[in-house]
Amino acid sequence: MLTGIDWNQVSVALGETLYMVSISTLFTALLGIPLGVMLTVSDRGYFWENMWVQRTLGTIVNIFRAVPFIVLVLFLFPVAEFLVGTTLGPTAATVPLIAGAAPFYARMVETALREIDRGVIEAAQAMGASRLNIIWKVLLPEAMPAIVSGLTVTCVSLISFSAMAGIVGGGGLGDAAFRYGFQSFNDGMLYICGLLLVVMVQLIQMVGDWLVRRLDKR
Amino acid sequence: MIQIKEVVKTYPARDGGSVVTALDGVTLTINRGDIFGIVGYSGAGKSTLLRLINGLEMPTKGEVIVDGKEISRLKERELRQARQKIGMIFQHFHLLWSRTVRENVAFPLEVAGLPKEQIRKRVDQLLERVGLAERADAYPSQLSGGQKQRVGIARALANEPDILLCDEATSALDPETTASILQLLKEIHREMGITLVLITHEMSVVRQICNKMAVMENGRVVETGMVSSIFSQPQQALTKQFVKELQPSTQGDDTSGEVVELPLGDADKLVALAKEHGIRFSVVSGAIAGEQDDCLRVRVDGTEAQMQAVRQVLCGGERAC
Ligand SMILES: Nc1ncnc2c1ncn2[C@@H]1O[C@H](COP(=O)(O)OP(=O)(O)OP(=O)(O)O)[C@@H](O)[C@H]1O
Ligand SMILES: [Mg+2]
Repeated sequence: MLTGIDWNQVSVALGETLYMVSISTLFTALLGIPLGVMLTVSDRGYFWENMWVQRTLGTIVNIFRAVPFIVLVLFLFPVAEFLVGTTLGPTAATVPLIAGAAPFYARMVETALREIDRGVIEAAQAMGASRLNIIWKVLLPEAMPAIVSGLTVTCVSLISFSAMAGIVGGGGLGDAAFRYGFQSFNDGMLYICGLLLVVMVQLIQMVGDWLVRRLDKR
Repeated sequence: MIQIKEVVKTYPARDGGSVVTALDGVTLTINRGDIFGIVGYSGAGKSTLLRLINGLEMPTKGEVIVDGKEISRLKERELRQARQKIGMIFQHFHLLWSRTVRENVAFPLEVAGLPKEQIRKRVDQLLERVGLAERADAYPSQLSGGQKQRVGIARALANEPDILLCDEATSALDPETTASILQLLKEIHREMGITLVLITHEMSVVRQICNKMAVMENGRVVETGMVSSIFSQPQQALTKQFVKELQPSTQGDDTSGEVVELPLGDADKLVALAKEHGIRFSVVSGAIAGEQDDCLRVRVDGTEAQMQAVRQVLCGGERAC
């Protein structure tokens, strides 16, 4: 079963997947967390109420979440040309990956922040905390376990989406499994790529769970 | 210190409901050094009134003047500074789960922009004062309710406030813990000369520590004055009712009737007796020690015929059980 595996191709593909997933997870967090914060604090009854901002952001996020991932990929490869200067390879693939995952993750962050007891926010206000104080010292630390577990889930789905993006020109393990495995009737390649994806998912879930357990002081 | 002048507070109608009037023309003066109790039933507007004092709510009409400054006129920055001098504690503590006791108490000091070294010193002092120095590195989830409220108090006192607002601060605590928290508040009042405003629905709390009080109903203050005079001569029906609530505790230890002891398993027989003969029981004590030793001691008071029935059922006709 392991005959005919080109380990060189496998390691290149693994490197590409790791690259796509880590870059897109990083940017998903960098976009999703502020977006989630804005969606929450601008809502009615919160300390930075602004319904116009709330509705606009909410609508944009929903549009991105409604579009099927494969459509995002096809639409955004040209945008990738503009943003990162190429329409091929793992770097280009990160653009639709981030566009697909960040809005999704922003909603998870929003849910995490809304879980925080309003009384705790009020207590901070009563102590004279500014709005930024509340975001940095209350909302984010209090919601950190949920923010991290959300990122774990998002990272895992980024792995599977990166495999899909790969087939449309991003490279990585999904692409290798498809081209060198499926299309070339090389079962060994197909299995080894699949196996590596499964191992990655397991590892990320384990690390994520461990982190959440350490962070959760409740 | 605190003047509330003809304050009206309404909340706008929400999804088809009507406008809620939480405060309907409240005028109240609280002097420096007072321990001022506010009582009233749920929904009377007590919390709303308290939250006006530190600007968590702004009045719809009227004014709230704290330390010579009208709260609703302050700019955001000034309001934040004013709030640092008004501590607040809550029924459900509202501590940060993600921070240790020490870090929780440090929060208001960080917000005030104190340097790290000073924060450390001040936090140590405060924890020492509330008797939690040993638990400094514990998380709130590892503390009892009383300990959590002590953290809340230390946190509220961090910036040496002139006023401490307490919203049902002892309502989630058992009587013993309540007494110790009230004792702590009393001591702090004496040491710091702080003005205390506390909301409660328990008259016993008012009697234990307040010197002045107000009684609220439907968004109005119906009666206010010295605690001693209100307790001796309540004017309004509601106030009389509140004062009366305290009476049973003085009549609690009656000694009439007869005490009988029965196995816990026979408790349902009491219910039957109460139904059939209209006998009143009060539980004196009970113990769960192990299958055989479980017992319940109840006091029974009634006519000789009723007592006869009790002995019949519980003790098989003999006098002693
Ligand atoms: N943010 C709000 N929006 C709408 N109505 C409110 C709001 N806050 C309070 N109310 C209403 O105002 C009235 C007074 O509320 P408040 O919380 O001051 O009562 P309370 O005396 O503190 O009661 P409790 O003993 O239950 O805490 C209630 O009818 C309440 O429903
Ligand atoms: Mg209340």
